[in-house]
Amino acid sequence: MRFHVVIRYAGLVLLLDSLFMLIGIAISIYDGVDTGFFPLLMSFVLTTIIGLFPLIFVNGHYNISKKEGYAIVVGSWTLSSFVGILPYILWGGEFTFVNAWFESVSGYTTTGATVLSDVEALPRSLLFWRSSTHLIGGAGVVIFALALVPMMSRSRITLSSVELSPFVKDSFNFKVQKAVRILLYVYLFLVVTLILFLRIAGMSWFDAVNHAFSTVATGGFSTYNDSIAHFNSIWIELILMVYMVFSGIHFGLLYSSITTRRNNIFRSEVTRYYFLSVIVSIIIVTISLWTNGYYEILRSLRLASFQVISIVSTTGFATIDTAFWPSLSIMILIFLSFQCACAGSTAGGMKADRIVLLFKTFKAQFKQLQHPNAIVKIKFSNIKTSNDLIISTLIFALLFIITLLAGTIFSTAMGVDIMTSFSANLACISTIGPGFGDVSSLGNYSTLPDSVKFSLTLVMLAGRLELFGFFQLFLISSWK
Amino acid sequence: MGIRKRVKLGFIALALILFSAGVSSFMEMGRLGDSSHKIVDIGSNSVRLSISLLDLMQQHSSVIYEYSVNENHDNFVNKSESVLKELDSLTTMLLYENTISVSLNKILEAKNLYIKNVRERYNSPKSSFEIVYTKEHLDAYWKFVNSVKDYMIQSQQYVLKETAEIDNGIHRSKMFGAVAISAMVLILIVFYYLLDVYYLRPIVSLTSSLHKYLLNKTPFVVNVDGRDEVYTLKELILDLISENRNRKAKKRDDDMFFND
Repeated sequence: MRFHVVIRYAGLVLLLDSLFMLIGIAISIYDGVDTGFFPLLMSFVLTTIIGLFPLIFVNGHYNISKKEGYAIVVGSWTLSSFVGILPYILWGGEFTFVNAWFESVSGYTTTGATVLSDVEALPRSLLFWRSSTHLIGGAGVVIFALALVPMMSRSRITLSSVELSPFVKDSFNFKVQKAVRILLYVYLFLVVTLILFLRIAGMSWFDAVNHAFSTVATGGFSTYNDSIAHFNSIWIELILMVYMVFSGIHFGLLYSSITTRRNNIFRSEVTRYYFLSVIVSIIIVTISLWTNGYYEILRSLRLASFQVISIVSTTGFATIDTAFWPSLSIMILIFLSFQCACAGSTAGGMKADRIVLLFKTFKAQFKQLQHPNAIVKIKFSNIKTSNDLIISTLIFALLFIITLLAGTIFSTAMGVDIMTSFSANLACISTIGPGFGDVSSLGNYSTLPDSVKFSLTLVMLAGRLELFGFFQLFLISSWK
Repeated sequence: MGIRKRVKLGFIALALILFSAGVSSFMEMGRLGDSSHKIVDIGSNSVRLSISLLDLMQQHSSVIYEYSVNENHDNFVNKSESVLKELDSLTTMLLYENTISVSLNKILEAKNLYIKNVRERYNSPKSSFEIVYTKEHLDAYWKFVNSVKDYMIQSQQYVLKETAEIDNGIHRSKMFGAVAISAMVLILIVFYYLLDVYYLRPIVSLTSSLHKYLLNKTPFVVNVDGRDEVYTLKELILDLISENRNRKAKKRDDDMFFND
């Protein structure tokens, strides 16, 4: 493997980070040089130098192998997360090294879990940087690299095999470069329109931009301690709900639906299942809240809708603390934390695609038991599914559960209660953010021990890199 | 880009990191210096003025005690006026030196009330004791004393807040250094690696290949990644080898021709 080629492209991704730091600096100057100015300035200088340095030596005329592509993806995530901590640790306050690392990884993986007990203490420039990590991570550091790198050189690039879920490639009938460009356009279109809608609904420009970054990236960082509850506006909640639902759908399908191609969201089996699961969950949670006397019916519907959509899309915004909800509601939210949204979106988790395939596999297995001689085929969106895909889905589900259990066992060993341990690990592996117990929707991760915070960052990275991509790191033979 | 330019740029990058860390730390230290001067000024001013104000109040109380004993009205008015004038000028000075965002309205109000209260009683036909030890007088007295205490508390709170900011600033200065050192180490490792890949390894490889060629006539095969002086050197050596080979072949042909 040619490491100099890897560091060249990872460096290009760092230049993107530094661009957003520069915008943060501009905000700081606009605010009369707030306390975020020097930390952001220093971070900008260092990130730019580190990003530019390999370009002095390494030319852009290389063909990139699969392994190098994989190393670029992992290197970009890791390096971005490292430079992402710079503004935080230089600013100080609640940011120790572990806290800054947690916040940075949480931002880039679009998890949205925070260790800050007082978000509002941060200057606006730093709040912007925090939301920007969502924007960069949401589009996928790799998608940025895929879209930008070919413009800067003529390299043939094979990064998508790690970053993009296999389902994206299977269901997407475009060439990789075109596909990535489309994903990026859809992503930016959603961000820009959401900023405008939130502004019209009454948010300030600053809040609108930050919340749009968080929503479309399905991250969940807010500029207020009370998250969306701060605004107490039905219009803002409605707009966010619509955008959270759409941000959880395959961006290619959104594009196809707009351009009236045959393969659109209304024909997709996965999207139909996704919508159905959201609607059924909202109904069950609403009834559960209402019949248990928590709120009156309309308020139950409003709170249930927002929380269900926030969890299933892996955004993690909150309008209420769900930790005290009835057990049935909590169980529904936990199930949604496993399932999450669709592949090809910015959402994490197991993905609705895999859940549908798992259900179909179970159904086929039962049919096979009833009729041992029958040849049972599993069709996915009217296409016969290969055995490889089924096996890899089953292995993924198994690996997901093993990772979740390992993380939970470690957290409990460090003295965290079982509910907090389990839900924190689930919220991190699925890149949701808030869980239950001490890390509930209006809570934060500040009370957890440093060792647990660090293990949760590994869980976040594993979840974001679709587990296989992350665990490959530890297979030394794959580097040879 | 040639070797010289690349190496120069590499060192410039390292120097830039050092420079930016130095500048940031310098500016942060400058800010720390300013803040600590401000804290010292505010702290000492607040203590000095508060003590003076409370002393004057005590002094005025003594004047009143003296009057209640000797009943000398003119003496009382003269002494009282002198203290009140001093009190007035001190509060004006307080207003002038108020560099922190502490509200002084309470002190000013209380002072005006106190002075008004005392002056209204100068020509009262009542006895000295009745003049000064009324409920209004005592209320005005305590209102003023409490407002001075409030001012002291607010000043201390401000000093505490500023000290916390300084503490944060010290953390920032330390972190600037730590982060710059870490970045320097990272860049140095990358710098060494790139120098190794692009210059050291090719030069070693060129030397050993050339050596082998001259000793055993093994083929001269060297891979050079960049398009710089090392690449040119490799091409020149290849040209030289082929020229040498051609010359030898020509000589062999000539020798064969003459032998024939």
